[in-house]
Amino acid sequence: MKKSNKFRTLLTLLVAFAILINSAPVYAAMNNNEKSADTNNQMIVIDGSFLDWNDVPYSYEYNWDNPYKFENQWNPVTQKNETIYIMDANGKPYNTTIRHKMALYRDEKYVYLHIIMATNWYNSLNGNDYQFWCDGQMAAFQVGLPGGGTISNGSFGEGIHVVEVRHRDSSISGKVATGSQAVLKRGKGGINDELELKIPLAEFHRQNSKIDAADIRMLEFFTPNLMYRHIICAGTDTAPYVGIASCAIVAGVGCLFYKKKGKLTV
Amino acid sequence: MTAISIICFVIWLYFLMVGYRSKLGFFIFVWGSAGLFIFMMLWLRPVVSVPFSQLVAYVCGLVGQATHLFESYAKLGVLFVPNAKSASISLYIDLECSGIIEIMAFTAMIWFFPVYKTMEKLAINIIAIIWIFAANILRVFIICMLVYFYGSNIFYVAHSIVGRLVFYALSIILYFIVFTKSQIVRQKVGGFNYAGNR
Repeated sequence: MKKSNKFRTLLTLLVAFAILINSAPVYAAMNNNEKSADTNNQMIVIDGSFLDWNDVPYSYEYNWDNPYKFENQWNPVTQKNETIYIMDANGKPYNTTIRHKMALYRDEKYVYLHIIMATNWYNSLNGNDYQFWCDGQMAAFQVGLPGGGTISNGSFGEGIHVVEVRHRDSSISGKVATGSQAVLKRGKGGINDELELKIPLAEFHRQNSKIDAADIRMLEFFTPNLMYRHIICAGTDTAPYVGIASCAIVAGVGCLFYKKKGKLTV
Repeated sequence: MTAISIICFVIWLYFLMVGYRSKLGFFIFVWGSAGLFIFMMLWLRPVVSVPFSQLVAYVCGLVGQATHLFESYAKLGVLFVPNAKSASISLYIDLECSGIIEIMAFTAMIWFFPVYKTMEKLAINIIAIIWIFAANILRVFIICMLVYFYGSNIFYVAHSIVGRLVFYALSIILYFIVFTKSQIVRQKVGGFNYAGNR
């Protein structure tokens, strides 16, 4: 192929590429219009509906181990001993009768947390000592009543209630985490309190200057009152620019090799 | 697409044209591939990064489903290792995890690499996309597997060392085969003569 023809082919491809990608964001925006208007492009909205947590990974946490499988349990209906499994609506072992359901999510600006308290042994949300560990550095918060105070059985009646997130264990203990939001849903009979909250990552840095809010690789949540292990969300980047640089050297060497090809003789 | 980026695109095309007219092979390769990569990052990346992350999460999820090690939440681009040793871990597949940047870099280079014909470039590009995609799936699978068996303490080692080494090794093998080995294979051997017969 002649050089001029090659250039024309390349030019045609590039113009087609430019037109194509110029039109693509328009279609993308059209598809996302509905969501953008409602949620300002956030995956989780702290509004007390809790439905947006259905798509987020969750786990059942506990302080004292309890089984989900009970063998030789008498079933009065079938009149015989059976094995009983404690499962949730998605068929996973455990449910909110015996363990706390927790989900952790983050985006570039916020961390989001969802907790449903277990029915057994707990009557209200325990909002004490919520620890967020960012690459080994901790920022601690307290979920409490508006204006201060601990959430208890008598704090609320049934329904949706706004609560507050405050700093703790630091020089700014007791101050409200700026930009945070938290909502508590108290169910019928005062069981299975459900909490959703979001905290700006910038507040982690405000409390602990060693935390770089713009570069948190591994973010962990732990509260000693409700769980024995951490729940974690982490990124898995490939460090693409280092890899590309290495590969570009290989390609560049190949190109230089080609340039010298005609001159090589044995 | 901003006015500045369009102006830059036109300038880039102009210098590319100059390079073609002057038959500056290496300049065309460097200028062309660097420019195409930057314009793809500017214009194509915002459109494809989320769907591609979701695709990576979905395919990884199939592997996780088969091995029972982890679950996929493709809509969020998240892989979830619920029963990792001493923790439950969500791994986020974002732009830098999806492999899309590496794919765009390869695409930019292959289309300005002088050795291959157009159809060869197209075929190599498609195979390379599959290769890089598979390498990334393998990388993520290795990270999830190590986290599952050894817990969150191994995460940095799994992610920053083991996963990246595997991915880099597979990428460099691809680049070596496509950009370097091809030269050796296609290299024309010139005529030879003896010193006394000149």
